[in-house]
Parts: sequence; structure tokens; C-alpha cells
Amino acid sequence: MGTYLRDVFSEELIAVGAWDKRIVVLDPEVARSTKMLAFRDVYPDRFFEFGVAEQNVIAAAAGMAAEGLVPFAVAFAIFITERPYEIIRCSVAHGRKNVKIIGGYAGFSASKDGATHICLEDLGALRVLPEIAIVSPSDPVMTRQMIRPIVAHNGPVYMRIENEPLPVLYRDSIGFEIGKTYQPREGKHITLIGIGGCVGRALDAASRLAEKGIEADVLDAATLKPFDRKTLLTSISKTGRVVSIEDHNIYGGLASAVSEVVAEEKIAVSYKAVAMMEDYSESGLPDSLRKKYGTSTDHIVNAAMEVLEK
Amino acid sequence: MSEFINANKLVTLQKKACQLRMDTLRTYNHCALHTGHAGGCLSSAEIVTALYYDVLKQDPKNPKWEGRDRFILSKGHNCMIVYCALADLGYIPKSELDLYRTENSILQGHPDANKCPGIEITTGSLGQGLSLTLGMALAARVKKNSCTYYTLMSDGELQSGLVWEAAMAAGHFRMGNMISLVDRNNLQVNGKTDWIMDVEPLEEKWRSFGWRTFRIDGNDLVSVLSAIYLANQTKDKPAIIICDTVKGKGVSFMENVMEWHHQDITDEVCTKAITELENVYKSIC
Repeated sequence: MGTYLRDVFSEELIAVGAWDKRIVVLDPEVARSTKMLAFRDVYPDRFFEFGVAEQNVIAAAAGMAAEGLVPFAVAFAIFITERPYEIIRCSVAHGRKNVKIIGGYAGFSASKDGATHICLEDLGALRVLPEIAIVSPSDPVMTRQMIRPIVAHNGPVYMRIENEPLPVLYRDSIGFEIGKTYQPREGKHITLIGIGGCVGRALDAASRLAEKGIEADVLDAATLKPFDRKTLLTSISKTGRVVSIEDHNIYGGLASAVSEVVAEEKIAVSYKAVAMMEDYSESGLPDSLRKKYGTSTDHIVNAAMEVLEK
Repeated sequence: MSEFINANKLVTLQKKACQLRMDTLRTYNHCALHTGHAGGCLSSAEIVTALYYDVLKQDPKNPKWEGRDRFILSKGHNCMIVYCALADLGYIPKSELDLYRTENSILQGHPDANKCPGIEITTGSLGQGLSLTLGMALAARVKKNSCTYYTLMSDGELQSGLVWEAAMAAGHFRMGNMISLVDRNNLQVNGKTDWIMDVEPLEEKWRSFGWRTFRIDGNDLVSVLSAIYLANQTKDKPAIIICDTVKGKGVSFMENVMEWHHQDITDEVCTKAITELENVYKSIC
């Protein structure tokens, strides 16, 4: 039914860590969940258990980067971005430190744990910080291909990972690059642009739209920042209609990035955002919560139809 | 740094501490805003002098030399006395000092490692310095680098939770390459540290977090040098040196007066303070 991206991430980080000895992992006591115990088992001298202390993890990672290491702070998205936020701003982003922040269990994928754990604000919170690149993989192939570019990128990166089994969307030949939006499906009537696991649901929605004779361009905003304006512009110049899809608050994330491009380029397009409105969610199953809070495949199809009717 | 403190060397260092106090106040007076965090600079003069003029392995011509000892000023607001030392040692041109806090200056209101040579890492957001140092010192283990990591914290910033996350971790990891100092001058912006949020008992706190503790007169160079020397003798645990100091030390009307945490340094204030400090300077022999 799919692959957990954390498993792919863990395997690939271990593989890259074999030749790049600068890579270290800092863990705020969630390594069992993030699969970083496997990294610890292979590289015990490059794994640092910090206990439940995300602020210390981020600041210490900045210190390690100052000494030339490539620290990966791997944890739950909500706690590794929002708890130490000002430390990320001051010591990682402003300090231009080569720190890689990996936020797992993002969006509704942490749904069973309730509002304390469901992270729907991280993209917006980090997107306003200069210097940080923000990426989020949509499938296992892209996840594997992201690790080397993230290590090679000389600066802070935030990688958002959802904790749900996801199907393969890409062939190995995509050649992931930071800053590039990918296009898993071509159409001409409407643009559906998603991020992370939403890309798969956008493709499902596109198949349903195709049954109605509507061909959708599906874009994968695998890098939210720096945002690939060109690929979006090329698509919406053709379609004149766009729906953005994210498991994230409507403010600050993909909806904001798309709106900024549309507004700044003064392109006449019909647009609708599929995103979490102003709320914090609750415990439940991911797909059920998506239905309740407005980011399900049905919502994508309905938003597309609304935009097409405008 | 050596076991014996040579009398001539001590006189030189005492004069240097006095000189840094004067340089600090003169620069605050000359700079565009004519203001600064004088009190905490003056209280830490002996600590900064001991580190920069005796303890640290350093090369001002090559600030990134891998073998250097690292010094992280966690109490970043007191950067002026460090800027004065960096200018005196040749890390930065002396002409930069008066540009403090102006546009395009390498000398920001709080020390910015992106701009200023000799500044290891940006500080000023209180409470982060010890944790940043911990990361650097852990990296030294990975890289098998044998240098020492010094941090200077204020007493007020010990109220920040992150300090204690870092303290717990440094004790846990037995960071023998970390030596931290607290400028315990008892005053912070709103008043006495003890009644804002009491940070004592400091030795017990740090000891219980797995640190070796020293408590000394932080305005006495022999005490500061001796404590740092002793802290360097055993490397099985991190060490903390709690330096009891006087805020505004060396200028009678600034000593133990809360308002001098941050205050205008007018021509009149500067002249009066420098006259006092010049008399101190002349009396050192």
C-alpha cells in the first residue's frame, strides 16, 4: 500500500553517512519513531541523544555546524520547529548554519495524537525566515533523492516528512534538485499544485477529473522555498486556473506562496486553496480528519470544479 | 597559561583590564548613539582580560585557526569590552570601534559572527550561548580536536530554561573540554537578580548537574587565572567558575547601580569615569 518515508530517509542517511563523516544526528528522544535508532546502531559516535530537549538540540546543532559538521536534528515537526523557533531564527537561520531540521509526523499524519501533535503551521512559521530552504517529499523515490542535495546545500534546510505509507509517484530518473517543482501529470484545463502527501491525492483527484473530461496539470512543490515560480507560471499561463493543496494551515504555506506569485505577476487566474482553515484539529484517522477539515481528495475535486465554473 | 603567575605579568594584565574599561567607556561615548551596556562590561573586565591576554590559544591574524580555543560570549550585550580586546589584539581595526551600532558596521549591538572576525558565533539572544558551546564542544569530540571551549554567561540569563537543558547535557556527556564562567554581578535590568528571580544556590545547582564548581572573586585577576588554571587540570567533567563581581566595577558612581546596566555615556560621564580609571591605572604597580 505504500512506504513510510521515514524508513527511506533513515536508510539513505545511513548510506550517505558512510562517506560523509560530517553527518551527525541529534535526537530529542524520538529516535524510535523517526527510525534514527538505526543510524545510532551504525554510527554510535555520530549519534547524540539529548533527551526531551528540542531547544538544546537546535542550539547544539548550530554549534556543531559552526565547527564544520552537518547536523541533522530529526524529530516531530511540531516540536522541532515551533518549540525552538527563536533559536532556529537566531542561531540557525540568521547564523547561516548548515543545520538540517527534519520534521516528521507532519500534517494530519500525527492525527491519532491530537491537536498537541498535529503540525499544521511549520511551513508558514519557517517560510518567513530568510536563509532556510524548505522541502517536503511526496513519495519514497523523492525522499531518497533528497538526502544528498540536502547535505550538499551549504545552509539550513527544513525537510517536512509525513508519517503515512505513500505510493511511488516517480521513476528514479527525476534527479531531485532543491528549488525545483516537479510535474507528475500534464493537462491543460486546470493546475493542481500540492506538497508532500497531498501530491498523491492531487493525482487521485486528477484521475477523477479526467473522467469528467477535465485534464489537470499536477505540480509537486517539493521545494516550498525557494519557490519555483517559473514552473507554476508556465502551468497557470496555460490553464488559467489553479488549486493549491496542503495538509497545513491556509496561512503561510503553499497557499501563500501560490497567492504571492499570482498577485505579483498580475495574472488573471481563478484560484482556490485546499488547506486547513483556522483550527487545530483533533484525534482521528488522517483521511477522516482530512474530510472533516477540508483537505481530502473530495475537497480537491470540489475546489477544482468550483474554479472551473468561475 | 602557566602554573605560576609572574608578578610583572600580573601588573600588565591588571593594567590591561583597566585599559579595556577605559576603551569601553570611551567607545560608548564616541559612538553614534553615545550609549551602551557599561555595567556588565566593567564587571567582566578581569574575566575578559584573563581569557584574551593569558588563557586562550589564539591567532588574531588567523581567527579561524583550527587549533584555537573557542570563547563564546553568551552575555552578548556586553560585547563592547570584547570588541575592545579584539581591536587591541589586531583581530579588527581600531577604527571600527567608533562605528559600533551604525549601518554597515561589523560591530553590531550584539556580536554577529557573520560580520565580525574573532566572534565565534552570534549571541545576544540570552540563554543560548551554553547550548551553542555544547554543540561546538561535542563537534570537537567527533573531530578529535583538543581545544577548550569557554563560555561567559551573565547571572540574569541563568533564569533561561535552555541554560539548564545545556547544563544537564554537558554534565551527562561529561564535557571536560568546556569551561564556563558566570559574571555574578547581582544586577539585571529591572533590579537585583535575587529579587527578580533568584538564581542561587549556584554551586549546588551546577554541582548537581554534574559540573565541577569554583566560586571566586571575579574582579581579582589572580583568582580568575587560578580558577581557570585549576579547571583545566581535570578533564572528566565540565567546569563552571562563578565569578562574584561588582557591576560597574572601577567607576565609583557606577558600582552596584542598576541604571548603569544600559545608559547614556555622555561627555561628562565619560570624563568623570576616565579620570577615576586613570588614577586606578597609575596606581597599578
